[in-house]
Amino acid sequence: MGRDRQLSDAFVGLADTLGEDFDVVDLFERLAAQCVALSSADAAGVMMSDGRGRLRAVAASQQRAAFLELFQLQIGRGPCVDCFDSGRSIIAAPIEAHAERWPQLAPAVLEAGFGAIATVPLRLHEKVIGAVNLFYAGPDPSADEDLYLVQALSDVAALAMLRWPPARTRPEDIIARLQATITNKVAIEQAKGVLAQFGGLEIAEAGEALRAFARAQHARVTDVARAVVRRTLPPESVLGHSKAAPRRTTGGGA
Amino acid sequence: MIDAWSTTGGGDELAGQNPSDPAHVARSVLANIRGAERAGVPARLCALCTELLPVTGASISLMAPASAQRLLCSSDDVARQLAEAQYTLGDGPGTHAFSTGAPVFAADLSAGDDARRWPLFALRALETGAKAVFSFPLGIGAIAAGTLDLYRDSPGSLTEAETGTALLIADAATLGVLRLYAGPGETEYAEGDGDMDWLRGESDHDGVHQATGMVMIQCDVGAEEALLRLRARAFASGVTLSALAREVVERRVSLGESDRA
Repeated sequence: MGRDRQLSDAFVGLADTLGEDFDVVDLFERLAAQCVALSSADAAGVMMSDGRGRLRAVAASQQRAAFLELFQLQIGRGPCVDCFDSGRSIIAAPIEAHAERWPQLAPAVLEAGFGAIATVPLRLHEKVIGAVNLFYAGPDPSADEDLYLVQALSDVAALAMLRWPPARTRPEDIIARLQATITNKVAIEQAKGVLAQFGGLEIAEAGEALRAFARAQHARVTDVARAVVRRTLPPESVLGHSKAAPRRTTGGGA
Repeated sequence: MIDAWSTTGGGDELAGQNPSDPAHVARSVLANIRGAERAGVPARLCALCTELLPVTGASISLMAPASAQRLLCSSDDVARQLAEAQYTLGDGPGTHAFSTGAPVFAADLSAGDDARRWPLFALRALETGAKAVFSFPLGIGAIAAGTLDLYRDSPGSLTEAETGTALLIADAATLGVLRLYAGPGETEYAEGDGDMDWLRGESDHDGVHQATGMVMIQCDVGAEEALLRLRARAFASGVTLSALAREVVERRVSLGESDRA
């Protein structure tokens, strides 16, 4: 597939929130994945404001990126926090050169196998609602070339989050949508724990099983997660399905 | 605003300067419920809403999945009638907040979008004298316990800072309501630090929620009970909830009966 086709597919894919299976957590996971596919970044993560004055990690393309996002949130410092506060993109490359500004973060980034970070604000109608973080394996990436594209992808995803509401958008609608996203994300983590413990799986494997089941059933991941945690869907149904028919997409009862 | 939270322990110099600073709000919420009996906490939080926010009244409703909705407490008679109207009609901002896990803001029930969205409820609300209603879900992820419902006798929305305050009170109310479900003695919880950690964002950690799911299977309990057991164990062991959660996720600690020794 050519680059142009890839780009247009990415934008159309992110903007498509009309399907019945639209899921905001999924939207931001797709955003992270598209950032990695289309920019020179090796990993990406998305954070959002939680309405209580804090940021929360909502999606990451891989575990090491998720860890670094959480780390920045815990110490309350780092490019994602500064980007959220200032509303401006930040490039920290190589990360060692910013060791004075972020003394705790720089070694953690290197430890996790990355050499540089870039961050763009997640914006909605001039308001900064979060940040999108890019992680680079090398110390000297061409990050400034990525920023425009990643900002455009992020803007589309943020708008899509509101499902292109027909009427005017009020600030409280944004907060409500952010909260719904957090609720869904937490339900997924709870369900991963249930499946991991029940099936003796790693958390990441449990997440894959959950997604595979949802795909096969044409159900929203968050709905499946909620059913697992509320014990209306037995964990063996979800796990049994993923083992018995890992790639079947024709559904066929749990 | 982020910085207010990151200056752990040193946040006191911020107190008093900005009443909507989240760390300050969290402290006042906790000061307000400290020492209260479990059953009295929800009513105190309702009263606190009317002090800290530009709202006339507040109520907390429980909505156990399998049973009917139940009014737990209300700060005045209008708040009570609003809650009951939603049970009767089966729809309204609170019902919606409960099912979506997100807050609902109906800033003007007398006209416009909000009136159209809940025509019957809006009519009933106006009869009682309420012009605006804001509903916050009480829950964590798939756990949905009830709602905190606020009303105003004049139209108007909450500012961003006020919404933040309401969300923090709802976080405290979530814990308060979950404890009502907990068996006596079995789930002694951490007052003070444990609650402060919670309001400071301990629930931001994926590990806490993953561990909640794992403990559900280990102990064969529901998610509410699993979370409370984790908090109780963290308190008893003198570690933070997120530290304990990490141990559980990495399978160094299990809360199952047979693993207890």
